[in-house]
Amino acid sequence: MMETGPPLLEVENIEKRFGGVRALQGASLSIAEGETVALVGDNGAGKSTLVKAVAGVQPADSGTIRLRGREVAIRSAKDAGALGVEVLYQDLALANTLDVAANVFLGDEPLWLKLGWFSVPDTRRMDAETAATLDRLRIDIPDPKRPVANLSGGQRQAVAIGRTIHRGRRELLILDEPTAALGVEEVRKVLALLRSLRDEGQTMIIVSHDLEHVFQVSDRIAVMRQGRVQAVVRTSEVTKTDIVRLIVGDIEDAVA
Amino acid sequence: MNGPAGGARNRFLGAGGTAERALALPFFNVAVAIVVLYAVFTAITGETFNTANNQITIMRAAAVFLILGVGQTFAMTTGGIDISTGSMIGVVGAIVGSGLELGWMDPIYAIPSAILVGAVLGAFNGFNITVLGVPPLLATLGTFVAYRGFTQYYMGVNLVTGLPDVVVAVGRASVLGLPVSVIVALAIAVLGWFVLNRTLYGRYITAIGSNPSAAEATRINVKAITASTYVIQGALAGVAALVLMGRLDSASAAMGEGVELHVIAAVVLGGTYLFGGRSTMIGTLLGVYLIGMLENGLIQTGAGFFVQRIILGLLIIAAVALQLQQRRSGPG
Ligand SMILES: Nc1ncnc2c1ncn2[C@@H]1O[C@H](COP(=O)(O)OP(=O)(O)OP(=O)(O)O)[C@@H](O)[C@H]1O
Ligand SMILES: [Mg+2]
Repeated sequence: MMETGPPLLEVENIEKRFGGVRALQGASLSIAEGETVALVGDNGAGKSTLVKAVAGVQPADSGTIRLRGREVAIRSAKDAGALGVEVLYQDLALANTLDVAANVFLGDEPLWLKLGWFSVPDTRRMDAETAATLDRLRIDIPDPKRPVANLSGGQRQAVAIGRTIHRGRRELLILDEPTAALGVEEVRKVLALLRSLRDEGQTMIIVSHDLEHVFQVSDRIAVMRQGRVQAVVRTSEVTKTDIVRLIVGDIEDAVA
Repeated sequence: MNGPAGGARNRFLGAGGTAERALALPFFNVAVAIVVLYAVFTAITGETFNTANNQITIMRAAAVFLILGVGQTFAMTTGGIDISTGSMIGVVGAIVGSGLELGWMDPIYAIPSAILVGAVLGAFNGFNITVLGVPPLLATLGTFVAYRGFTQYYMGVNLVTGLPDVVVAVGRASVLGLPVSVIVALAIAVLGWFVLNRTLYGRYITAIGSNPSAAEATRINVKAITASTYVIQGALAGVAALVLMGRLDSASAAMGEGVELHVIAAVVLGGTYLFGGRSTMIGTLLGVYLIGMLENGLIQTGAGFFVQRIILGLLIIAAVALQLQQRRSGPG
């Protein structure tokens, strides 16, 4: 399937230890351009750790990462960003005391006056673009000028998603549990957004525990267990029961 | 529905009336305290407290605290603290003062070299905190002791005197009735306000204090920016040292002792969170004035130096306790 060029992202044999805990024990995964891959697995399987390795916030101990066939060194979030990898973290990385627009643009502000650290951001533009993004997500935040600490879980999630889709150059969008902790209506909005991003050709990795959501948005499903990607299957060729059995380890055969 | 106009409208509708807004201002408490104390001191001392001359005296005494308060506000915004400010002043006084007195430093270089020496002292704090990972309180406690030790070692019981006119002018001259030191302090405060509220730097230090891992994840250079707040604090200690040297026309081993207490009290009383993520330069300005007024008023009502210290120490505890209280009851 679509084997025209090298995959957009290839991770191979990624290992990561936290003291005695071997969170990743040789995880490998390959994603084609324009594809949406769901990453599933039990609690502690290593999904977030794999995401953080690719995002550079917790660089891997060993293993290789290739983007479009070229080996890249991702040692920091800055490296990943320069390569066009955008991440929505599970543990909502919002600065609680800043407002919505400040969070959406944090670290990537449009500038009104360029002066290094002492640059003056273009807040007018930030407010307008943030409002447009919230509109697109159909998320209503009555007072976007207040600190995001005051927002509901869904609204906070919307801000976090708004941030990830706002970056200029994103080759790969990684979302760690984008629908966790959301209300029914908010889940629907987020899923609709993910589908429209997929239709626009955005390459995505989506981590989720909700197989219903996984089946709605993914092209393929990668199942992690004990720090490894145990199986990768085409979403259209399997049932939820198959996935559940792969997650708990009932079936040992890895499908490519 | 969420256009900029809608947002602007909601800003006024969404958050209750003007009174509620005022109450939510971080420096509301300190503003009230100023009004109350002002009335109390005026009532007790009658003529002497409530005069233009006395207000100038308060401001002149408070200028050093305001200069340092700006840097302290930056450091605290990141969730840090710098208690070595007084000791940095001591070192700057010793090196620059003796350089001037012994003639190996041309007076032209007095101001830039004071700032530079201060910045280097601050950079050492920043290095220890961000590269070595020493908690700010302990890192600056270490230099609080070490820098003062150096000053005492270097100066002994000597007193540097006969400083050049530039330096004396910084401490003593007045322009249009306002002391130069007060003008310098206010200029630094205005610049500090701008940096905190209008630049990326202000946003980033707030983000760092609010959620360091969020700041890291958005590619803010957390370590460099955090360290820079201590460099700024050091440079400002250099400016403060010039003001003190100029005012006294001398430098001694004890110069700057105890200022850190005033500065920290002023910044926290002003409404800046000791835990980072929320700060106010206007609050710092008011906090500095409150502390200056309190000291001045206490002297005039006959309370001695030791009573002042007792009150200052308790005030810091009260201010932090109040912040903890607000943090528990309100979000953020
Ligand atoms: N910073 C850390 N320090 C120590 N151990 C960690 C750290 N991060 C993850 N781990 C451990 O690594 C393993 C994998 O964790 P990870 O967060 O990647 O799991 P996950 O698949 O995302 O789980 P969940 O579905 O619960 O989010 C777990 O055993 C976890 O306890
Ligand atoms: Mg996880």
